[in-house]
Amino acid sequence: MTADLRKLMASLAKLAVLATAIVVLVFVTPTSSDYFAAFADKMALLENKPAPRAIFVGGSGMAFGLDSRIIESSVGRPTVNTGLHAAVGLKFMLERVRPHLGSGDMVVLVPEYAIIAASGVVDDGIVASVLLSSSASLRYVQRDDVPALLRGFPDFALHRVVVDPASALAKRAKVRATYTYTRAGFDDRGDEVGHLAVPSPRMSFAMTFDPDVTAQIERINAFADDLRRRDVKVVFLYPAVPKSVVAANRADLEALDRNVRAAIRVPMTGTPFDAAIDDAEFFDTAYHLADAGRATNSRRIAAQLASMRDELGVR
Amino acid sequence: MLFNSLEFALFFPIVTLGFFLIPHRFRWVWLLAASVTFYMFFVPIYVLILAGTILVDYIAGIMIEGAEGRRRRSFLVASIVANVGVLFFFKYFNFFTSSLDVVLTRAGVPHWMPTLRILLPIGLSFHTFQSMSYTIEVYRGAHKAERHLGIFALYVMFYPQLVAGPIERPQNLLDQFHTEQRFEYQRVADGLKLMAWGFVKKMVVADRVAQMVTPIYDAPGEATPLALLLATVLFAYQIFCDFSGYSDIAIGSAQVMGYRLMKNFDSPYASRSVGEFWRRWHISLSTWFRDYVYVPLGGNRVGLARNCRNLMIVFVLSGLWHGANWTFVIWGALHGTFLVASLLVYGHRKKREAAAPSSLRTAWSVASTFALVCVTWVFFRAKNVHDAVTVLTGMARVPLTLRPSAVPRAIGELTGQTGIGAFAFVVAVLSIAGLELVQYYQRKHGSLRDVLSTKPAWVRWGAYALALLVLLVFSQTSVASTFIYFQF
Repeated sequence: MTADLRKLMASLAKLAVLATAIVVLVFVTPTSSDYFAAFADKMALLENKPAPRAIFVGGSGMAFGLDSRIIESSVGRPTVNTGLHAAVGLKFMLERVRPHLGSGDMVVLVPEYAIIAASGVVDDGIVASVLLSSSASLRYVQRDDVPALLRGFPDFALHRVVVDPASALAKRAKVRATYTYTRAGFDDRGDEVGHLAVPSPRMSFAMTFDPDVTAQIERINAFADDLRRRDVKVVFLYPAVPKSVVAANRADLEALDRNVRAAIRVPMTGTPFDAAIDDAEFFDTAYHLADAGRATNSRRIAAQLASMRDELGVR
Repeated sequence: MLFNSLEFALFFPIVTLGFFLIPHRFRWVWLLAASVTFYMFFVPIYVLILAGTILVDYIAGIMIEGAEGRRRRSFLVASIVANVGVLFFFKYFNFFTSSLDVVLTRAGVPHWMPTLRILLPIGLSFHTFQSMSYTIEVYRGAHKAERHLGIFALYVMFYPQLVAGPIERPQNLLDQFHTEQRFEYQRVADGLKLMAWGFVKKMVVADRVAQMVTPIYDAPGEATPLALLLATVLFAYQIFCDFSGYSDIAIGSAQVMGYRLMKNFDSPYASRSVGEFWRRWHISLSTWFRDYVYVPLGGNRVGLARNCRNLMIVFVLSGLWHGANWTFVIWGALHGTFLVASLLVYGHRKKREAAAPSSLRTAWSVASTFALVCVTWVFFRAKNVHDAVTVLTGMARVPLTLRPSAVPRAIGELTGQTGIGAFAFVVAVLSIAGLELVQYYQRKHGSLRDVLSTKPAWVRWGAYALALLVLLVFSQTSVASTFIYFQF
């Protein structure tokens, strides 16, 4: 080895040590934002509650929009709500529940529209923030997650080192007074209940819908095909969005519904229009329901599941 | 393959290590194979187009060298026609037919117009221009025809600058492939540092800023005037950091292996005139147009009227080079118009400038040049001419609508989709300020790399730690992004 090469190797080694120190620094920085740490709690629920169960899969719309007690009393089985954040993407959601499913389980997919759209973007920053949120979360890292973890690390670090401390300061100084999502906001079924007592800020909602859903519906089909052999049922339902949004996007939603029905091979019922809820019943985004909306949505889902009872072979 | 991808994080060390382990006489094979692999990450079949261009220009170079007079010229013309033909077919055919369609429809002429459903080969304009510069230089007798097909292919396909330049000349790059490059610590370290700086520009500034610019330019009619203005200024930095970041990574990765690529950017936003801007922005393209279009047309050695005409031709062509869209044509024409206007009032301005204090004059010149360049960026970024006009008319209303409440509202519009809200704006502004500070320091004291190399170890390593911290914490890597100039 030449002297120049040795010198370069030494410099690169020093850089590696520096980079490691920075990474460690990011991890040891205390954070006031622990919403994503609820991921490990939800995974623990999946591991510990015995089958047969009703397992709900979706993004934060699922987390904020489901009252699992209503579902439990309707379907007569324990419920686990795995909803956390839409931007982790459908693949992440499905692969997280797949290893923990048991005979007789029923997976109820209620993905936000962006999750099933071809134009929907998976945010590796969110994936990294979820998987790196606590030491318990690290247990659920899969080999396929490594690229997303590498790409998403800066976003995770930015939140941990800059955004979260600044948000905490702003909140303390009463510059920002919005509801803070936390791990403690979830109950023992995985439902976000911390926001229920908080008044909803008045909001107007705007959304667009991409009717190109075939690729993600095929992913759902493949997931269901694999689980059929393990005696696990998969159901697809539409998520709740504000009525004003549905009215403004009727043509796109009709096209989307047609495309879903043309491609899907798992039991489904209802339309995007059945799932629409009054704007006033939403909390802080077009997917997060406030208390009354959450109950309305849960009753709708319970009724839809009941209507498929024979097809699903459940009570 | 993108520079800012995990694939490149594996590709680069493997290719570089292999390069230094292989004896010099086989290195062209290794680099050519690496370049083909790099290119085939996009649309693999399009490597055949590149191969065709290489073969045509390789043969043309030899034929030109061996011919005299009109025969020599006809070989050059054949090579240019072949290159421009490929460019026209893939890049301009649909633009041409759709524009003709509009004209014929308005004229009431019954017609049928074909449309091609093809994807534009990535970086087509870059490697076509580089290949053309070779045959032109051989024709001029400034460079000998390359007899080694592999080396010539490598000249056109050298992976660091294959898809977005710098557009090299044979005098600079081709001969370097014949020279044995040795491993030198300082050169390798300098190359790596330049790459790191390029990554900072791309991932910390350009990609962060892009998240704010995109929603505004996707629906300019719904944005407030101040949001349009801020988005346009941010886009000026996005495109600079995106493209100059790419160039830095390209130049740095070539430097690691011992190859010197030409400088492509030189603090363009510090320019005091649009003319100076073009001596500092995309230097490899502007010198290409200067040497192969402007000067052959007569350049500035002709009368004022013809000089103005030459400028307009060059800049309209430069606009067209960027993209097959009227927005790019207008972008180029605007730059040409500013240069022509500058030419026409040159004497008057000189007198006025002489009367003003130097620093004030410089600040005014820099600010007004930046404002003019920003106006042109509106056409560059907008999806169509209608959107561009919407942005410009909106921006013109800023003085009428500027109230304290307009600022947080505009920032909210810019950052609503970023995931970190107004923090994204703060991070973007601070990173742009940091970038300008570094560039200012470099203009005053020379390259930061060179300055740092004279400092004690703790200062150097403190700076490296800071750079690493910035890259690891402030990079925007969570959502896939490409380079803007790849589309050209």
